[in-house]
Formats: sequence, structure tokens, C-alpha cells
Amino acid sequence: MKIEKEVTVGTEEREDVLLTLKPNPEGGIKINITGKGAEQFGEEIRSAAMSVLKEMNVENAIVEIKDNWAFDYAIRARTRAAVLAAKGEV
Amino acid sequence: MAYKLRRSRIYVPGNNPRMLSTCGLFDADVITIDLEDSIAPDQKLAARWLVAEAFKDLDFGRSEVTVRINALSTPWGRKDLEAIIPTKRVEVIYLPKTESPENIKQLDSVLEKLERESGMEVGATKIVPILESAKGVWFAYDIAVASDRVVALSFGGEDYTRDVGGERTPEGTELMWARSQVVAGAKAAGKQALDTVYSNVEDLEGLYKNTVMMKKLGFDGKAAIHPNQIPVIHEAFNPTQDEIDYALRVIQAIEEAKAKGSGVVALGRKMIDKPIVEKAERVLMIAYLAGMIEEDEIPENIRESIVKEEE
Repeated sequence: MKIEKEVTVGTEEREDVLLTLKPNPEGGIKINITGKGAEQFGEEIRSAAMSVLKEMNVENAIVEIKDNWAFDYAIRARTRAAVLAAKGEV
Repeated sequence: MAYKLRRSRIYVPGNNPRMLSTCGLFDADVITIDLEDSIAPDQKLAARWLVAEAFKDLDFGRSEVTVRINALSTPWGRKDLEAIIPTKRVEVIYLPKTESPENIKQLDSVLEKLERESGMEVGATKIVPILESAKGVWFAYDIAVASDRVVALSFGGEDYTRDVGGERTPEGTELMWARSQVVAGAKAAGKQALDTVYSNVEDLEGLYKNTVMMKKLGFDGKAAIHPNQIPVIHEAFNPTQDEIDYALRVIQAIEEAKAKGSGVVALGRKMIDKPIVEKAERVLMIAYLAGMIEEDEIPENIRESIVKEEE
């Protein structure tokens, strides 16, 4: 699946992430992680987001994640909601 | 039917990860994760999936895990169920703005379909209708018997007052008939009755007095909007030591009469009839579930109807 629309979900509140999903004109998946847990848990955050993108067959997207010490489930949830919102779900 | 302790029920907004990960520590009998009024329309999708993913990872302690979905007449209600039911974590669905038995039958059939698809036992997910309009309250009994899944009726006082054109007062005079109707409708159907929130979170003494009154009216539980309200609600619904002592004496008197082969049971100069026995059994059951007495102090005939959470 190709992401054709930019959407943002989540918040900057504690234990959450602000996640923006955008089209990637160059193709492939690119994940940029910033915020509080980026340095310490960057790999875990990337792998949580990636697991959902893979499950949902997303092949082209830029994902920007601003973390505020979110647990895995919140990262997965925000990624899933962003993909569904990009598909037009309410 | 098995009796489950539902004294306190805390609302947790479904789009707040911090609240979701800490609410299991509140020690509420029931946690109701909200996808309805506390979630703005453009956040419904995000909240629904946050809750579904939370169910895969989070522990909610001893609390019964329940979700208040959006009404099925909205664009979101059915999607809420499709996201959360397959996680197999939801014990009870709270259905807002229930006004007719048809609302419950519709929910029942969606649940049945999703339970089958998820390989769950059909009927595993229970329902608590929220009655918060004149019409909903009027049809309390019909709604309570609309499905075997219904375990309790819950009353929503704020919306009800708006619907009838009344005005909220500290004494709650405007809710008197509605509350009694909800209790009678629920009890006639053999279900629990759960009261509306006490909005003033600063006034714990007022909350206690109000909750004691609701217990006397026949309610089994009350909703909370702040964790500080939970222990106060528990204290109000727990039997007092005097009530427990009296209930134990009633049960003892019955056993003594049985041993003597006497059909007439008296405690002192007072005849013990069926309603007194039932009240005593209920007091002991709640006392046991609340951890106030030991299992061997409950009469044997009611032991099996008790649902005790695993420690």
C-alpha cells in the first residue's frame, strides 16, 4: 500500500507519540525519530512502528515520530491509526 | 446468576495513554474506557486503536475491563466493536443512550457475529445499557430483559436532566423518580443497578452521603470521575460491622432452627422471614467479596453464586 495523504495522530503528552505519516516520493519506508526516548529507545520505537507498517502492507511512506516516553502499544496504535486515517477511515 | 462486585466504576478517556497505563492501579471494581463523550469526533479512530493495542499489552489489575462505545447509530459504534472485541479483553460493553430493547438486540447480534469470528464463546461479552434519557428510563425493565448479556442497568443523570428539561441540584431531587425506576427495572429483571456520577470531585463527604443514600435506594454501584472517589464509594457500599454481625446472627438462627427441626425461625423476639434471610445473604456475599469476612462465614447455599477475583 502506498501512502498518498499526510496525516498526524497522537499527542505530545507523556507516554504518547506525535506521529506524522507522509507520502515518500523516493519510495520505501523512512522513519525519523525525535523526542525524549529517541536516543535510548530509538530501535524499539522503530521496530514497533515497522511491525504495524509491515502487517498493513505499507511499502512507501515517511514516518516522523516525536516520542514522549511512549510504550510500544501506543506507538503501534498511533501507526495503525495513521495508516487507516490516510486510507480515509473515521 | 453470579454476583459480581461493581461498587465503583471509573471512567478513563480512551485516547490518553498515561491514563490507560495507570488506571489498573486505581483499585476500582470496574474500569470503563471511554470512546464516547470524552473523545472528539476527529479523535475517534485514534482512540479506538489505542484501546485495542492497549488490550494486547496492559494489565488492569483486579478491575473488570469494560468499554463505553459510541452508539450504534453513529458512524463509529460498530467500528469500535470491530477493533476491540477480537482482543478478547473486553468483559462488558457499556452502551450509551440506550432507549429501547431494539438497541440492545442490535448490539447483541453484532457481538455474536464478532465473537464467532474471533473464536470466542458466544455470549462471553456482557452488556450494560446506559439509560440517560426520559425514554431510556421509561423502558428500563424492557431494556434489562432484552438480552441475557445484560448484567446491569446504568443511569446517566446529567443527560437525563437535560432531556426532561430539569435542573441539576445538589440534593438530586430531579433524579428521584428516574433513579427508583432504574433500580426497579433492573431488579425486576434480576440485574444490578448502577448509579450516575457525583460531579463535585472536591466534596468527598457529599459523595459519601449521596452514595449511602443510593445504596439504600437499591443501587449496587456508582460511577466515579476521579480516582479519589473510589475508596469513598467502596466504603459507602460495604456493609457496616453491625450489618455483618446481624447477618451472621440471622444465618446462625436459621441453622439452629433447622437442627431442631423447627419451621419457625426467630432472632430474639423477631421473626425471621424470607426477605430478612435474603438481605443477610446479600450482606455476607458483599462483605466476602470486599474482603471483610472469610469464605467459611458465608452460608453454603450462596457460595457458588459468588464470583471472586483471583488474588
